[in-house]
Amino acid sequence: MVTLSIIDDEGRKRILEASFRVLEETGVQVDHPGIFEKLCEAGCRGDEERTRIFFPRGVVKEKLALCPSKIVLASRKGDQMIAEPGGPSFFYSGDALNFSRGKETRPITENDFRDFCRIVDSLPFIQGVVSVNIGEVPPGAKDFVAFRVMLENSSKHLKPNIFSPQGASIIVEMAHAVLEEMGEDFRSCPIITVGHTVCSPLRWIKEGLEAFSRTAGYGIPAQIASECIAGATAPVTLAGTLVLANAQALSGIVINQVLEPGRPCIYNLGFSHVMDMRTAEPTTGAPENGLLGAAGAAFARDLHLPSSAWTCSDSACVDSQSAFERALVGLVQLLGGANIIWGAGNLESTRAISLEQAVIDNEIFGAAFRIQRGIEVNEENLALDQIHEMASQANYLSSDFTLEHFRKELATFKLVNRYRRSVWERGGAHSLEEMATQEAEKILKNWKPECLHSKALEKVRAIEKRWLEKLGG
Amino acid sequence: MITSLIEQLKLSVIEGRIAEAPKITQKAIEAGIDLQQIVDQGLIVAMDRIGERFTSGDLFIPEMLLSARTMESSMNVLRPLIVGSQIKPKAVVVFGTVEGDVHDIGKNLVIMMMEGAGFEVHDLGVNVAPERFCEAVELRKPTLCCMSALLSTTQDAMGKTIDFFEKRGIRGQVKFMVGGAAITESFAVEIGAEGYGPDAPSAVLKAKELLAGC
Repeated sequence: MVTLSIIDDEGRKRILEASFRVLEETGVQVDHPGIFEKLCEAGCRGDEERTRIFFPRGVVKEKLALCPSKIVLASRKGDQMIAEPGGPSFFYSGDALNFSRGKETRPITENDFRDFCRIVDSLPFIQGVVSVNIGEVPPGAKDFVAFRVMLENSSKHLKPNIFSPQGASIIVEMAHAVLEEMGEDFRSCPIITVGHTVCSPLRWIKEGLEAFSRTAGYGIPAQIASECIAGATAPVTLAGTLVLANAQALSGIVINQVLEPGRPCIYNLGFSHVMDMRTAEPTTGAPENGLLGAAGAAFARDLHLPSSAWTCSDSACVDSQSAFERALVGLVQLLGGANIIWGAGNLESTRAISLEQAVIDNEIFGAAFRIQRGIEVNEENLALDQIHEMASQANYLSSDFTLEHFRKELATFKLVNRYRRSVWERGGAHSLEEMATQEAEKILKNWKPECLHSKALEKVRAIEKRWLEKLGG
Repeated sequence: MITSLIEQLKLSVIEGRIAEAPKITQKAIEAGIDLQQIVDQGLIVAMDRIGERFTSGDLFIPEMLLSARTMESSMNVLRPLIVGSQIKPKAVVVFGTVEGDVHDIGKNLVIMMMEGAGFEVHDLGVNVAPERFCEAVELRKPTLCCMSALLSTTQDAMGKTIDFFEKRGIRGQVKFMVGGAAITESFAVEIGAEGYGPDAPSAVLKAKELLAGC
């Protein structure tokens, strides 16, 4: 497997040492009295105002040792993805507010998200669905309504968004209902991951802490996202940002291990951005996003934890920019060893999703996986016998050796054009964007996601109805 | 002499020489140059030049902020002398992330840039209830009340805050500006806010535009 080293061992050691100093000397604000007390009981030091926690490195290391380094993430069909340092990588879709069609966007409707889930469900190189913010759903219900849409339209691994403590509890209730009908539980078949993001610099807000707290105790994997903006909420130097990002992520690890010893945790420095110094926008498709994601994966390896990152584009529509940014950032994160990489179908710095972009991203990720796989060298692949046999004839094409190996050795694509101009013109002279639009339409017409068990569906809808009524009343 | 000192002050602001600007300002005052002339021909011309260079892409935000801080260091020397003069005092702004929303990255960026542009900003923090916006407006007497929200789940709190001001009978005391990832110009119009900024630099420009009309 091809791997990319972004920072050498010595550099990573210095950064981690600095992160431990931040945890010990600067501390982290913890906006939750209950968790604050639990952290103090676990050996951390709280300040007099009872707002800031200082994390001794002994406590951090002790809690890190409780984290499993291998995490199972399941689909509803029972497929398992193993996320572990040095292990395989998986792409997920990405969170968003708007639905992009051509050069227009609008707030995501339930039907838009249904279509998006179905598209992602059909694409082989995208393994997980991330929730979005559905515009037409009332505040207070957005998280669990979106989760119901995900459950109905994809059997892949799901990452619901949590917008409120109550939303966290409702999502757990819904997922539990589905698992119960499957004869499984969260530990035997972890179909969801939850998570929250630190408020950089160095603050865990109550909502995030409640999201961890209310989902603790079941074995549900938690993603600890340390999302910095270099130059705005973190130092502009990437090394400085990584010092802060590590400190924040480590504090989240300790919090989760205090809440549930042994909880599977995903170490995430890979949502970090740099601030564009002309527009004041946090970037998502910049080269630095690739570097930060890959560096985050390296730190996760050092800490024996699985990692995640996010590849996106700052482009406002499906175009060359959206493709090159996604490919560059995604490839660097993949080769850096990030286990889970969000962002399939995302546009506009993660504000939008696009069906066409998801279809194109599937092609990009397929190609990226091929690069990651590298060149396998063994006796058979050296093909010496073939070379002797074909010494004076160039008909490798018809050999059994080619037949046997070509599918594994060569990446194949569904949409990219490799035809000569005349053939391409006869086929309608379509650009990749046009091909993606056609492909998305075809998928929506033909793809049937594996349905939820009827009883599970009934239960999930009943939970949704009950809570919508409560909120409405 | 006059031209030379004003020219030096202008250059010090453009180049962000923050230690030098107050000294040149002091010299200009001692040389008897009209205060209004120092502001208009020195500082404002310098900041206009900075604005043009930022718009054309030659300068980046940190450099613009440095120039703004340099201008402010000069204004700190001038301000005690201009009480009662025609020169406008600092514009006051109160700023907060609305109730139910705890995201503050966007808010903090805009505040940073507003302060750089010479505004006096009172940051109310995150999850700010309408009552707290009201209290701050009554206490600080700002010209602008800015509200930020990341989520479409929390944007409704902006309209509620403005309604709260109406009910208290103090809506006319302040202009509202809104912004954040989920906010659009049409939403701002819908809830009756006077201003909307799609990003931090635009928010500062819009704030200046609103203040010019005061």
